[in-house]
Amino acid sequence: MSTLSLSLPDERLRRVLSGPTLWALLAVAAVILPAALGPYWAFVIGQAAVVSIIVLSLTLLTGFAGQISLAQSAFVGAGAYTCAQLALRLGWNMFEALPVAVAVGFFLGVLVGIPALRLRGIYLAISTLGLAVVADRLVFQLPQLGGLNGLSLTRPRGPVDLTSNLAMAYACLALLLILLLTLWRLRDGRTGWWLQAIRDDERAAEIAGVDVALYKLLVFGYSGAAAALGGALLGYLSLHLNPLDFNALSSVSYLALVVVVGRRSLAGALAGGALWVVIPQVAEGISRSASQALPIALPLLLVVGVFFTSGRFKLREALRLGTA
Amino acid sequence: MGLLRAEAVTVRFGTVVALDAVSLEVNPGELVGLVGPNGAGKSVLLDVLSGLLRPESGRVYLEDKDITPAPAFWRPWHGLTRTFQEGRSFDSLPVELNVAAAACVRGGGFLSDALSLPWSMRSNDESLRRARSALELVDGAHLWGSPMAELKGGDRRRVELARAICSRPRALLLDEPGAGLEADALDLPRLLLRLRDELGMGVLLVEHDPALVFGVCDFVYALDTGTVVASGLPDDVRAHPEVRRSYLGVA
Repeated sequence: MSTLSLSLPDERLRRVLSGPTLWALLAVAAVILPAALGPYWAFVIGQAAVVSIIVLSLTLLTGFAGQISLAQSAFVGAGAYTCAQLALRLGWNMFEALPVAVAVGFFLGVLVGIPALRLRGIYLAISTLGLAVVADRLVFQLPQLGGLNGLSLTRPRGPVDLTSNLAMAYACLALLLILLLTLWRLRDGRTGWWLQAIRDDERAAEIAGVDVALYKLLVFGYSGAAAALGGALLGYLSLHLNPLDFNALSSVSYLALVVVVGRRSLAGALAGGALWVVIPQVAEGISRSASQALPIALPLLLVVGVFFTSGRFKLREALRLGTA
Repeated sequence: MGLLRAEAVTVRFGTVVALDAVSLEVNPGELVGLVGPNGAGKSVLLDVLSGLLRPESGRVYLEDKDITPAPAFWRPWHGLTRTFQEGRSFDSLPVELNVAAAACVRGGGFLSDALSLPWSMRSNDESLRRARSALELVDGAHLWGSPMAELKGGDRRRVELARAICSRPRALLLDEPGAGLEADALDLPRLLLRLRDELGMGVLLVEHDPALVFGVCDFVYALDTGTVVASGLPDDVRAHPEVRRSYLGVA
């Protein structure tokens, strides 16, 4: 096979990059890279895993159920602050606090989903953004929650010692893997069929026996839970929370990210998460703020999106997302 | 008695009376036609029966159970489904999932799907199995695996019909299944008789084509401006002066 077709490099590459080969490569990289590159890059890889988790929180919601959420920053922040408060007030470690953070995220997600029963498109976007702004300005900045100085977190020593960046990175990757597995199963099973049915035609979905309201709330809950998981891990990874990390506008970045890398593609979400964190590292040396990466990362991610969507960036579809 | 029954159903949109105390009954294994000119209220009645529209007054019974307050998604799980006049489908799903999504197989849900629990997997498989036999019943087995968005006219109707019978309903509401199709795109008389005779369904057929309605139906209701103006055996209804004037356009 020496004739590498020049006319369709894109198609070829895409096939390789979306098959089992890709997942095998990713798995090997996830095991080897954090250990091989040293503690600093282990930290960066952990961050990439966390951003991927946050992006994946939108894959099912936006990509499959066709709902739009600009409240992800609130879920992310809620996850992080739940853990920090439980540590501060009750002395809970990560293993104890994480399930609570996920549950809080699920509950908030369902709450945000309630307006989605009536609103769609741009109206839903605005109402969810409203929640993100409230969380950002009125909740996360409360003096009782640490105010603008934020809060500190410590990584657990037992039952598994996660104090090193390497161990923490593996923990983030492991949770990313679990999330991926659940997404896979949801996507390929009846829940995935039903969510897509809801996106395509809600009335027809009702007549097909889908409890549209229930599944909308569940998918919002799932999205909130996944984003809160990402936020909690972000807290334990960076050891410090600052309300500015959860500003409402970062929700816009997350949504932009998931649309650009292909809002239905699991691999695209991983690529998005990785590039999001790694690009500014390479470009600026030490920028840890995700929002600063936007101007650099978006064009690059566009290229990635070309591979993971349908071979070309569906601009029209991306724009329609705002109104459909 | 009776599979599906509407009792004195009234629907008003503002000051317009869309349905005025309409009563109707469909028995098991019976093909019932519902005819009338445009705006007579046929589709509104189907919306009420399928739960998409709450009537202002009146009741709907499915096997003598009052289902008036039951939400639309509840009905297919309990033996009542429908198709739409404009032909609705899930265009981002392939044909087989369009159908399987409506299989109404119990067992499994969001959480058990996420965890791939055995009963979820069994429900997936059973849904696909039912989708295959539903597609076969409407002569659409060859469409398995096709992207829905690529199908046209008759095949889209076939898939929608398969979706409506995939849950093996006892009562089926068809809203102009032949609308907008070439005459030979779908062999409707044969399909309708198959649903009635092989599956024993009670079918309520809204149809514009008098030849089809009066040719295959066992019983016919004629609706005009929200009231039943005639009902009975096809020949009797066809001869009714009201029907001749308003529906058949004969003076």
